[in-house]
Amino acid sequence: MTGTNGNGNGAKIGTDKVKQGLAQMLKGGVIMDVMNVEQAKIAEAAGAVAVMALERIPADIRRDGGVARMSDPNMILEIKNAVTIPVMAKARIGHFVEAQILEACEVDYIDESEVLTMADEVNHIDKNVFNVPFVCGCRNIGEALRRCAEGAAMLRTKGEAGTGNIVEAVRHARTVQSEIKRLSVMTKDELFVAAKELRAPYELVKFVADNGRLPVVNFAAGGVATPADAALMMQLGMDGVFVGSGIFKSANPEARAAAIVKAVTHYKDPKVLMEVSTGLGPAMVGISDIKGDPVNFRDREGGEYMYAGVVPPKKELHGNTETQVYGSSWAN
Amino acid sequence: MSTNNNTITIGVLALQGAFEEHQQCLEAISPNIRTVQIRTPDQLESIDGIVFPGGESTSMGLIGDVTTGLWDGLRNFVHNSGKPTWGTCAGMILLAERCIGTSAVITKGQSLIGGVDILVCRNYFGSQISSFEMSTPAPPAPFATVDATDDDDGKKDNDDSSFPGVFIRAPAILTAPPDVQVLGTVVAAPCRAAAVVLRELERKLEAGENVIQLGVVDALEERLMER
Repeated sequence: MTGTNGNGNGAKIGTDKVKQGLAQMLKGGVIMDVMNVEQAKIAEAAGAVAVMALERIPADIRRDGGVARMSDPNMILEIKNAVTIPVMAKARIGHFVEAQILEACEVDYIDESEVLTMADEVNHIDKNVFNVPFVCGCRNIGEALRRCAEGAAMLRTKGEAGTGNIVEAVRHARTVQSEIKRLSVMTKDELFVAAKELRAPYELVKFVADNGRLPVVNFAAGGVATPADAALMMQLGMDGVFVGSGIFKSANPEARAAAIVKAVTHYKDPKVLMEVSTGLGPAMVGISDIKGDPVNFRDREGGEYMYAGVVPPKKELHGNTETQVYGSSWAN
Repeated sequence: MSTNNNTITIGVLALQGAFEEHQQCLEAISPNIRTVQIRTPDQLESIDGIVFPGGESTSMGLIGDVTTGLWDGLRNFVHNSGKPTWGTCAGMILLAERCIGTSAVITKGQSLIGGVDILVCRNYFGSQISSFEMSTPAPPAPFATVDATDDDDGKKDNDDSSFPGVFIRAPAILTAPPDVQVLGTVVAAPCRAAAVVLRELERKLEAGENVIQLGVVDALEERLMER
């Protein structure tokens, strides 16, 4: 929202154009989760457009539970020094101090991520006050536009991270696409009610209706494990792909990383897709029964969470992330 | 598309990056302009000109390198076809003859198409947090006329003489020979990482590996002396 056309040579940083512009530069590319310098170099050499530096990839967070937090700045800085492509890092939902620390690390993008344990069940980070841009997850257009209002400069589907199962990412991508189509045929008076029902700012709802697209770039994320998964998401209209656990939980990370990059570039060419899908070795095992899995990253949203603002009922302890957060002795 | 004679077809390299945005801008100029996405060498045959869009130059170079015949096809198009070529940001890096600040991982360095005799430094300004917008001198007539809407009421607005420049993890052109026409310049010190690269280059130059004058490095040394 900063003015742009001032004369003289005052350079303006942290403007919407600059923040959203980097996401546009990443379009048609693959962003890979990496846990150390070695993996970051593998990702860069495979043609990744950016890396997401984190201590535990989502599959491990699912398995091990515990509170998942921002990574050690030292690890992020090491990765920053090792590669020339942009480096992203995750902050907990609502944890604006983690975001401040990541900004001080000069990461290129912050992912306010549902994969980490929520720090605030009601409020997300006010991303407008930061100079570093943010990417946020969304399941539907209401959630997407709420994040944009808070200042997100890039969106991604939430999917269900660490499962190696694309079904949720497909659901979120298709939901957003069909809602965009629905908005674009609405009359002007219907848009006011649509904004109310979507619980999103009217101006942003109107933007989507007028332009037939989201205000910012939207990537696929959460469950991409194969080149075919990546190309599927591209054909569904996504602007690019995040691959989390899919690469470094597979048998041959180098080959799989390069294959997914190639699949995203040539996503409309089945012959290339056949070539790159051949002989990659086993993909990550993954989780087929997402609904039955005790860990649910995708439904974490500030103000939307089941127990937001109220004392949660007493629960049985299973040892996963969710129950440990609420593993209290509160009486019902 | 009604009269094929008037239609100009512009190819936009679509390996990665902001290729759709370039297509939209080109098609907005005139209904006679058609754009095609270039991903394979055979697509180069039918185009009248090519645009190398912005994006991640490392990725573009790597993706292009593993696509059979594409790099040779592009080199041939740029160097031998005599057709116009445009490079934006990362696309400009690909068109540079020399580039510094490439990744430590990629041993053979940035894969360049070449064609413009300039020396480019990648990520000159630093990380995303140092990315900025600023007014730059307006380009000369053939480019400036596209947006000339308020010409008729005299030149009261100073905006006519400036052009919005957006620098996102941007490269810098450090040297250009006299026969390259420079449309505008921005004075800026390099970021820490770029400064290290530039000083290393300076050291190599002093060791006699190559002879290029680098004014920027001199300015940097002065700044470092002040601290």
